[in-house]
Amino acid sequence: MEKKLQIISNQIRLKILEIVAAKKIGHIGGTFSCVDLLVSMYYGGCLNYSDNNYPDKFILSKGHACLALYIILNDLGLITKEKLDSYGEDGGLGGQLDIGINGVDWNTGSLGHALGVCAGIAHSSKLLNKNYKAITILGDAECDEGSIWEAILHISDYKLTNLIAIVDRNRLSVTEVIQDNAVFKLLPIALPKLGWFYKEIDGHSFPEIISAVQESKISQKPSFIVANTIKGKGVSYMENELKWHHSVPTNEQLEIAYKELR
Amino acid sequence: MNISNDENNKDMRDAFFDEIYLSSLNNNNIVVITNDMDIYSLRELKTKRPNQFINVGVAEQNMINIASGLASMGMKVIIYGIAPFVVYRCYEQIKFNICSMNLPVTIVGIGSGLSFAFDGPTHHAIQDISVMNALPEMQILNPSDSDSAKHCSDLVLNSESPFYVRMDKGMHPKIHNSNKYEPFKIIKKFNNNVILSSGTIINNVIDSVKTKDIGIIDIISLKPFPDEIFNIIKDVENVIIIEEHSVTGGLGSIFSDHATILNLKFNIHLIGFENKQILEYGSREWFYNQSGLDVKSLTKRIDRILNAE
Repeated sequence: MEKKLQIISNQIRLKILEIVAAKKIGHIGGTFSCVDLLVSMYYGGCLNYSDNNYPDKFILSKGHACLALYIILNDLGLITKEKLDSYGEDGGLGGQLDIGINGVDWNTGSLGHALGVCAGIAHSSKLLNKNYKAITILGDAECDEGSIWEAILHISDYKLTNLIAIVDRNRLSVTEVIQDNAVFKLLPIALPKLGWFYKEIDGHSFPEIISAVQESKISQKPSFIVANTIKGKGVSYMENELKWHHSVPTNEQLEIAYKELR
Repeated sequence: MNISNDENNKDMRDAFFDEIYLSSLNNNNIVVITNDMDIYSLRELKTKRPNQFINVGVAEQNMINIASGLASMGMKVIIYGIAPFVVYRCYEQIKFNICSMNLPVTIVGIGSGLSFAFDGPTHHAIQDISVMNALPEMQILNPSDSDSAKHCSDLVLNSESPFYVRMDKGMHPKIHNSNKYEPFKIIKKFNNNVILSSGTIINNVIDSVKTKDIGIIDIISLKPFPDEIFNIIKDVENVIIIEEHSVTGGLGSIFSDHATILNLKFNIHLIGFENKQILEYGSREWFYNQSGLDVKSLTKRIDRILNAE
């Protein structure tokens, strides 16, 4: 299973590189850091996306990593190859997610919204007496948003258990290394005290990701998983380099990347 | 008009929320959310249906996000709070999570215009129509009495659109007596001149033109603007817009935009608040007086327009 997921992840990273190189636009670094999380969602059983009546709702809050999701949705048959090929074209798939795309549950582009939205979705599961989950992948930089903290407190107060937030903790924002920010010192202290299931994991280890999500689901608590990741994961010269937030590789760089990922 | 002697009249908020309360008892999918504001009609909802009433505390951005998450799962969500805080504080959340997702969330902004005059400029809602009008999916209602407020609740409960309902507080004269929602209403018949007004300021308008040859139309639906009005007023010469809102972006702007698009020519006169900060403290009546919106000032201003012909 683990090996199979790793192969899928590498294939997705290769496809991302191909598309970004061809279209000359995209966010490689922050997409590569969350590929393994997304693969765990869609291929590792973390997300129940195919239930006919009440599937889990998934929000990729860091929507600038949309290309990985487009590739997955295409692979799962939810969007066509033509649709995927429209990435970067006028009127085609864009740099953020849109609910007009089959398989996309929420628009993205503005940060700090998804946790509160998930609170509403989780609250609806109480009213409908159903057990679907609201799952979101947040960027680490967006955890500065006040609305994230408003949501954290509200979710505690209302004991909204059908909710899992996973932070892609790649430690790089657009302009800075976010290693020792107060927000990531506060989260591990505050969340357990506020009744959350809190866990830090290696965000590139499939067994750790999948078991953390399974633990979340049986915890009877709202869950916050900090997945430690590497921006640009999988390509040596991209890893932990700020410039790969939205740079496009040259032909020589591409050759090296292809070799490393194959 | 004597307000207190009318047994059928009530606080506009209660007229609206009594209906919401009764509907929510029969419909588990109605959820009411507030930023810690008390509404008499909803006190029982808190205890009878705790899952259908959410007090998010003083956290308006989160309130909008929660509402949109609920609405995306088929819930009918009604939000209420003091108007400026549920409009400006969380504007991006409204634009992004309610409007770009086109979800059936109704935002009730309590305290239209200067309803909360003494609480100061942070509590005034005199640019709210302007900013809400900029959101493509948002419909805007501005009831003027308890009757129109009640029918606005029927409309929002039976629609799938985002709504902003601009709600005055307290008792106001009952000027409508209708059995259904109406987007506008002719309050006083007209020949060559007509006043368009909206919200409870219309009571000052009514009192200022009692003996004048000028009509009054009350606009409840500011957006979509009821363009059928243009058929009714097509032969009118002077259109005076009187509103408890900035003249920038309010009813006057909306009317002027529509008239321009339809290539219709009127002498349009805008009466409202100037586009400048109001930083003083005082009563609503004092502000009306300062801004030329009291009955005496309006009488003079309307006379001046009519006599200039």
